[in-house]
Amino acid sequence: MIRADRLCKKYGSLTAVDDLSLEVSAGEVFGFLGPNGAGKTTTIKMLTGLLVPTSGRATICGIDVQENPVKAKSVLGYVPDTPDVYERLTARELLRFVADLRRMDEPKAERRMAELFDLFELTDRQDELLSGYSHGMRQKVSIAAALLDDPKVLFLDEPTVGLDPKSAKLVKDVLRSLADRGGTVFVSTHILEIAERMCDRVGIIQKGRLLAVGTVDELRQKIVPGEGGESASLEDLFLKLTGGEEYRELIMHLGEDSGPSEQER
Amino acid sequence: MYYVWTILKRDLRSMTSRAGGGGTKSSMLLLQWVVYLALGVAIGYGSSRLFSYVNTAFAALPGLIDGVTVNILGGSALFAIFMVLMSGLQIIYRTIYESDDIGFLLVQPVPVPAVFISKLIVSYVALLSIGAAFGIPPWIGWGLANGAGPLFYVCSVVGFLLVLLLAHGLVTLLLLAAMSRIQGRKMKQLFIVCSALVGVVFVIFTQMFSSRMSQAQDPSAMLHQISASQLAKSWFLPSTWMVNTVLSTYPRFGINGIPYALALAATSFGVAAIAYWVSGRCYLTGWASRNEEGGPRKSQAAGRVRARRGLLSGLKGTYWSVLRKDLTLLLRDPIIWYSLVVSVITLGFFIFSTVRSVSARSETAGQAMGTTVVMMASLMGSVSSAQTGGISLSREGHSFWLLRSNPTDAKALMWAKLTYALLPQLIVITLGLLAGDLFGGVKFPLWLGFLLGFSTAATLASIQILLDVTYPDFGMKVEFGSSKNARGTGKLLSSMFLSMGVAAAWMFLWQLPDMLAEEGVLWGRPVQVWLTATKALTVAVGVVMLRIVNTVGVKRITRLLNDA
Repeated sequence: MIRADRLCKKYGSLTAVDDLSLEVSAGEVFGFLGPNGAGKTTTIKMLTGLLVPTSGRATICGIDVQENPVKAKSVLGYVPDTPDVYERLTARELLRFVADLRRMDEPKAERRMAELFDLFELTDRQDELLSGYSHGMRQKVSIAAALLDDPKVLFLDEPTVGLDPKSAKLVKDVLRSLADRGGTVFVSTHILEIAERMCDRVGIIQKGRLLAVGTVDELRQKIVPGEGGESASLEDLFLKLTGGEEYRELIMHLGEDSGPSEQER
Repeated sequence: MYYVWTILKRDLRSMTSRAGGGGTKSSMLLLQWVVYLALGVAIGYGSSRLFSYVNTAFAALPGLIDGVTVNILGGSALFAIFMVLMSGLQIIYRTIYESDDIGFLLVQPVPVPAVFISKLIVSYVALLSIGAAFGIPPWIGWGLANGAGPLFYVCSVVGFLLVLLLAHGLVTLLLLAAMSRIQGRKMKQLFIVCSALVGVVFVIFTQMFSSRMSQAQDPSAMLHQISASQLAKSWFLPSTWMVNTVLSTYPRFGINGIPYALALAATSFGVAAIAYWVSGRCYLTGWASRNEEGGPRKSQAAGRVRARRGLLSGLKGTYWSVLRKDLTLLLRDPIIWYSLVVSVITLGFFIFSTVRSVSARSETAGQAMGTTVVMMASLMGSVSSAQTGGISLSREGHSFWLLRSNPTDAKALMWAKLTYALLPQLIVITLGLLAGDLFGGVKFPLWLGFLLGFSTAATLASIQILLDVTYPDFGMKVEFGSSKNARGTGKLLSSMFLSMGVAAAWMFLWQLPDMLAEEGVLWGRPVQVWLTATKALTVAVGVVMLRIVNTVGVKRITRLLNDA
């Protein structure tokens, strides 16, 4: 479904994504993890046809994204990291706009809109201007717009940021359900708990390079082999791979420094 | 006072650092000051010349001179009040409710009235800087023409400051009262409607005045009409109080200025004090609701939205969906169709008053009038199109990802934007041509007028679109006809000047054969041949520009959709 073949993106001397190759199959939820500035968003943009790679190739459902971006975009859905939407449109008008861009049949568009508004509890507010929506509500509308045409592949960049726990759970269930129906979900997130619970496989990227790909169990065996490895959480694995463990020690030192002194105690 | 002074000091520092900091913001600010200064000098010089002329030419008619003096000076003070009511509403609103630092200041241990007063002073100074360019120079001009002493100038400036304080206080009171009841966005819509009404009244008033003046046979008759105006006799107008106060320093007018001075000072300070008192009760409520919507758009409102969609419903694909979306947004941004309405009204008055004057004349005059009507319609249309065509793609803002992540056809998107850019111009041009035809006097085939108008509009829209897709600014945040950042404001302004420049270039081209004929430089061909050639050139350039947009523009937009 998703195939990246030696993708590379350079901005002058900076290499944002370096020789990245991966494959994600149908029916799979793939978690894409990495620290800030690791190259997650750049990778997603190249896979969705929003950015031309410096080299390499990306295909979605066998369609070359660079050669035929319009066709590729007709089978994918995309949710950006910030839900910027036309503030002077209502939620209904926005979804209608997307439906018309995608040339959806009128009855199908109406049915899907009703389903999605109902699912995201927006039915009562669908005719309000989006300028009056909270960040979380806009995020829900962005996700609804991406799901409207029942995409075969769905890309989400930090989809749960700004969502309340109930809505975040709802989004996780929706994504799982899409994958169970044979769709492919590619989700980038900072929240490791979400990735651990929801994703079938995860990929960890740092400084543009894909460090590891696999199920959480596979990563445990690869990264922390031997005894104790089975109990390592995804957070442990992530910090081990991305060099975050050194910060733990620093934080402990800071805690000691700022805590009450022996005399004060 | 300590808090007010501390906040003002910070505002002053930030303003001076902005002015001296270099870059676009600094240049724009300096340019603004230079324009105001030049305007003030021009008005002052013009007034001085006018009053000197009146003094010399009508020395035998002192009654006429005095009548002209009080009416022109009273008119200028009234104009300053009008300016505050027209543009001041938005300036005061933005300063006291939308300044970036209010939220920060309100969580500090600073009394709320101190925050309010400091913002009120900033808005007063901002208005003063605009109003002074129009309001004070006529007085200086009169003083120079009449050799006035220092007392006159001091009284003029103080009088103007008080008149401005009064208008400012009234607008502030209105805002405070409205903001405690109406949410921010509705308030802004109300501004647009009020400004539109005031603008239309202003256009009608000036056109009626100019029509009345054009009936005067000579300058003397014109001055008699000004002198006979009732403006200076309206005792209830603050402008009259100011005129009578300042002119009371001249015994020849025989005015007792004290009651007028007291009325002006008491009313100005009284209104300011009431505004301060009301702010203690309403300011925080208004500030807290500044970003709120006017409640759920249910029932009737929702029905309206659905009904509007029916206009182009059933038409799918990139072209229709983008055009429908843009038109929906256009209808919700009153400033664009407001400028369209003002353009149409101004054009209507122009056509009515000029076409009428040539109706009985020759075929040649009628043809020339036809060209003039097309020219004026193109010029008016170009002003309106700056808000649409010049920023048609940039208007997508950060929501552009929706077009980028969907199967959007670049060519269809380009043509949707071009149609959107052309629409306001075509509306103005069509109405202008039909009005010219209706009022008579235009000896010009309607189809030719449409062809020329459409070609001019196509050229202009193509240039605007090409520039916008080459240098888009998705961060310009246009709201209610203005941008929230300096770069966006610069883009809007440059788009407007470019539009007017292109329209003016066409006007020059169409007039060129007649100008060359007067000079006798036609290279042996009759003027009609050159007139036809310029019209053919207009159409050809329009076609070529559309071709360029279809190739270069589509390439640029394809790149923006797939790689940015």
